Amino acid sequence: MKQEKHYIQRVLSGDVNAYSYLVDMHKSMVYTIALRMVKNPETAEELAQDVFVKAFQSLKSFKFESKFSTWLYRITYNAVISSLRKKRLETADIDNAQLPEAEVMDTYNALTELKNNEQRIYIKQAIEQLKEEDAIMITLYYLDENSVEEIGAITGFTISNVKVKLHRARKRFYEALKLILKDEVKMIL
Amino acid sequence: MSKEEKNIDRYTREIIQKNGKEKPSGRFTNNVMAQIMKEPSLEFNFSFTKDEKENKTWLFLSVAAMFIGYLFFGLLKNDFNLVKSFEHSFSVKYLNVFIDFFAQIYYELSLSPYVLLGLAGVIVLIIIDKSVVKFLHSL
Repeated sequence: MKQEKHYIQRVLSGDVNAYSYLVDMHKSMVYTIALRMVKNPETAEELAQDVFVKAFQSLKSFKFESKFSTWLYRITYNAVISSLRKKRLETADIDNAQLPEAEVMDTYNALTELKNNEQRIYIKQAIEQLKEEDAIMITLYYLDENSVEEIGAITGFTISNVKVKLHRARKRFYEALKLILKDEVKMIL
Repeated sequence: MSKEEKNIDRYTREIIQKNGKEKPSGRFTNNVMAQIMKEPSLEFNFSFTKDEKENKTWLFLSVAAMFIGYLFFGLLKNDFNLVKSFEHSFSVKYLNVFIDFFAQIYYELSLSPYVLLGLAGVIVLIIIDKSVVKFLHSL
């Protein structure tokens, strides 16, 4: 964090090359967010590059009030939403997002029976099947370990809305993963 | 957060992190930096300014120490007699030393080629220094 601040200040004082450090540090997560939402590697890479150029252009407006990553992911989220033609994301309906622990345990156990590379393939498939909003919630919360408040700052949703969306996304992820694993078992049999 | 909820969170985090982050192409950073370098808004500013945070405490302390030392030396020389040492310290009788010094220089000054060469060298160096600073400021 301190080192990151140092590099930001170097960029602001005219050392443009110092920006490559910030790009290297955050490119994977920015690309992951873009890919999870647009679901196309080429488009995601283009978008991610645009995000870093935009972030560079508005770096002066970054006031160190939040983490640099939070600020960057907000730009990413807005850029992706904008590229999806500002498609209005469905509002959170407080549907039955309850997920029994037993169900999670069953899926978890079934998954751990598989080889590591197989696990990764099925998890990736399950994430790819999610809607962009569900995918971004799962990615920000479980992969990059952002807090609910930070996700709220990135996406512009209220904290309670983030919680609801997160629960729903998690439930959909398990539904997708269960289905994939079930198909896999059928194929083996 | 209930215990069940915490467990679900833990397992989900473990599953999601197994997949990890996606990796962009190897030339990603280079492509971004190339785009940034093309930015018309990018201005390179060179500024030659003095460090405003430069600490002058030592300078003031040294000056104060020298002054106190000078007064102490005066006192020491005059057997710690305040009146006598004050008269000696601030009297103009030592002014003769400076006058003598400049008078000596004046008498000994010759216009040999070496002296002229030395003076010319100093003038050239000052001109070069001023030109370089002016050029850097004009960037």
